[in-house]
Amino acid sequence: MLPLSILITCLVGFCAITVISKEFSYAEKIGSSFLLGIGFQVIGMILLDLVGITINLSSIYSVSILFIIATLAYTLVVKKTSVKEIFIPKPIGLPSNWQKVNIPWLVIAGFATFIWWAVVKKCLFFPPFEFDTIAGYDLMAKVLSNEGTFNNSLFYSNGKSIANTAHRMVYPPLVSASFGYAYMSGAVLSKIMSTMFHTSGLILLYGLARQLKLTSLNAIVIILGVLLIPELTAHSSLSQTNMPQAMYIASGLIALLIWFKNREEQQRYFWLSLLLLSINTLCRPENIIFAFLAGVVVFVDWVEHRTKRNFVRMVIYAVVLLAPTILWSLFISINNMQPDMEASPGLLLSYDAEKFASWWGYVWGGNKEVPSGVARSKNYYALTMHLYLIMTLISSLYIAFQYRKAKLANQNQTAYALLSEQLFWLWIGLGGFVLYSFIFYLIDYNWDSLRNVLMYSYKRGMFGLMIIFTFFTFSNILSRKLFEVINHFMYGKEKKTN
Amino acid sequence: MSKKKKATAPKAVGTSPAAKRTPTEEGLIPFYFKAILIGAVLYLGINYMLDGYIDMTKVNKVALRIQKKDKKLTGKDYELYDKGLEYSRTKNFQWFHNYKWIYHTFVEQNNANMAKMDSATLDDKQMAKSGVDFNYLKMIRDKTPEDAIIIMPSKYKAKRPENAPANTPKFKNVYRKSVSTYFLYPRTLIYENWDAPLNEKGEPNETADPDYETKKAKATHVAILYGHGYDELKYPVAQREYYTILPIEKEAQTAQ
Repeated sequence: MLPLSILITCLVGFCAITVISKEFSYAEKIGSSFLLGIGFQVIGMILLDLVGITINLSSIYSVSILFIIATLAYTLVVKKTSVKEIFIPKPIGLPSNWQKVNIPWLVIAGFATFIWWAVVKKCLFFPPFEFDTIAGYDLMAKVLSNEGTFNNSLFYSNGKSIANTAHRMVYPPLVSASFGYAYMSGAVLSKIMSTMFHTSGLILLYGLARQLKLTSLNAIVIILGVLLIPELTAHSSLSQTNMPQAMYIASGLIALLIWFKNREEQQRYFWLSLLLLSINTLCRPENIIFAFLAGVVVFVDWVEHRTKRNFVRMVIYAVVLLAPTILWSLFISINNMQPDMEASPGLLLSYDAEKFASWWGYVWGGNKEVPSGVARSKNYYALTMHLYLIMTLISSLYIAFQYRKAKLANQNQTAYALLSEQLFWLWIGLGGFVLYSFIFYLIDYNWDSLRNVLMYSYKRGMFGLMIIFTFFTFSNILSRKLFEVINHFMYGKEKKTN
Repeated sequence: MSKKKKATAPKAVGTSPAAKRTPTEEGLIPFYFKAILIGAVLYLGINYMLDGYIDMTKVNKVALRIQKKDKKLTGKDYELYDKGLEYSRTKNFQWFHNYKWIYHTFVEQNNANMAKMDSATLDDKQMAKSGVDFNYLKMIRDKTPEDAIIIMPSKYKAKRPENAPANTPKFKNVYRKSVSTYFLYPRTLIYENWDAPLNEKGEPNETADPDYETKKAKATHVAILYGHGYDELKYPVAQREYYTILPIEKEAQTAQ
């Protein structure tokens, strides 16, 4: 049943992305099928549970099939897309220059595949063993698959969850419910879902990188860069929430960038980004920060072009982005589901010098335990942060120079395009990093120590940003030029036709 | 560089997915020569990044033994320590060690570990990862029916006795209801300490199970750990084992 279940999940996601547009590339369609599909299915599970229908394979399949029929009908009848266009939107065949095999691409792709395969192998070989999943996500998955409800025997009759589960039983359920779906489908281990999140995320990221008009070698180098983030790769073989979170964050924000660069022609990426970031809020509660980052970009777009259409689009963006969080909050509130501890993570909006020094030490350096700080730790992220900072500085200087030059030449559009893309990157990269890190300063540590939260939650929560950093490092204007030079060197001055 | 060229900086560079190249005059031989050249440069670059790895965890262990003046240290240990020390001072280590770690430890070491466990069962693998806790919980799982209601050892009973023999295992997670539930579900577990209305300090227990008394009255088994738990049984036991699971009623024991 497991292959059938995964196929249905992918069909749900495929139909969802086809509703947005038939124009997506195969990599984007394949990559987002699972990520979107499982998101819709988990929302379906919450809704089923909310109305009192038992969550089991039959009910999930029924809802999924209804979704597939409805979306297919919309695509075929309303959007008037033919079946052929849905499944084969672009001709499949050898490219015109098929004789010229991109050997450098093969070298990098070979190495990337080698690491990816090691992750998959380890992931599927060992059962879950990390405390957070055993005392949290996979535990909920086992009980959910057996009892058919999120409000199950892991909660006492007074609504409190059982001891030592902390807040994990009331966590947004994307990962635990996806694991539960695997168990319902007869899987002995739920870790196939981690593999699916990882693999789908990488394929989607590659597809999105190509939409940034990068050469294929440049795009695959980015994917290798992502696979070479040590802590992320190590975590990708575990069954935690952080890797799926990173995949949704990165792909959602990159999709938003593609839309932002060419807002009229690339509208489909606006909706793809919305769906990915919206589903991401069901992954971990702090993901609302990344939703906020994206929301600001959409707000800026509206400020720039204050049309009624843009306003409606902004409102839809905000509502859809927040809808899963509101749905889940409503669900746990109606069912009186509570964490097993009285204290809950809140924010303390005050300045505390001692707390600030301690927070700074862990985040940026100066602490004895992590002298370089978590963010700059080469043990966790190798050179990702260092390369990002260097490339940010150099490319910003270059852009400033180019901006001035374009302005002087009265090429305002060119100047604007240069600046807006760089500002976007700075906002989601540096802005995201500062905002995300600062939230960890504001947290009221009445439920755990600052050290534990920064050394574990913060460290793993940075994965999404690290993927964004990798993207920027290898796709900023200077890196793009370098890869373009390589391409020209290999292929010669070939004429390009669209 | 001309002004015109610089002004086109934001223009899309690279190939758009929709873009198709048309073959040019340039033949395949010059193309492959260049492609192989770039491929070789990339390969050598990756090789430089990954080559010359020394497992610093092993080096640190040796360093600790040297510090403790361990007499069992061999020449090989000293050699490893010296190499590690030298390696840790290189730029190659500073910049690329963690990339090497992915290849040599995450990929190769894990592959070797998995090859060793090729014929292992799922329980063996869980044991390898979760340790003695799983061993103990597995014993309970194998000896009780799925509808069993089990009184589990509380936190203070799960603590390794101070006078215990040296080879006595230390359980880290058995007293945690969440972990035990993961391995023993669908059995119902009762933790007298954590589920009791009052905690060890006599304060109201935040995590108290409001149905603790009802569940305890229906308990079918007691998990014995470090010899604790026999007082819950309704019959005397002559030969007391250190770790076991026993039914509360004697009839049930006979039936088992």
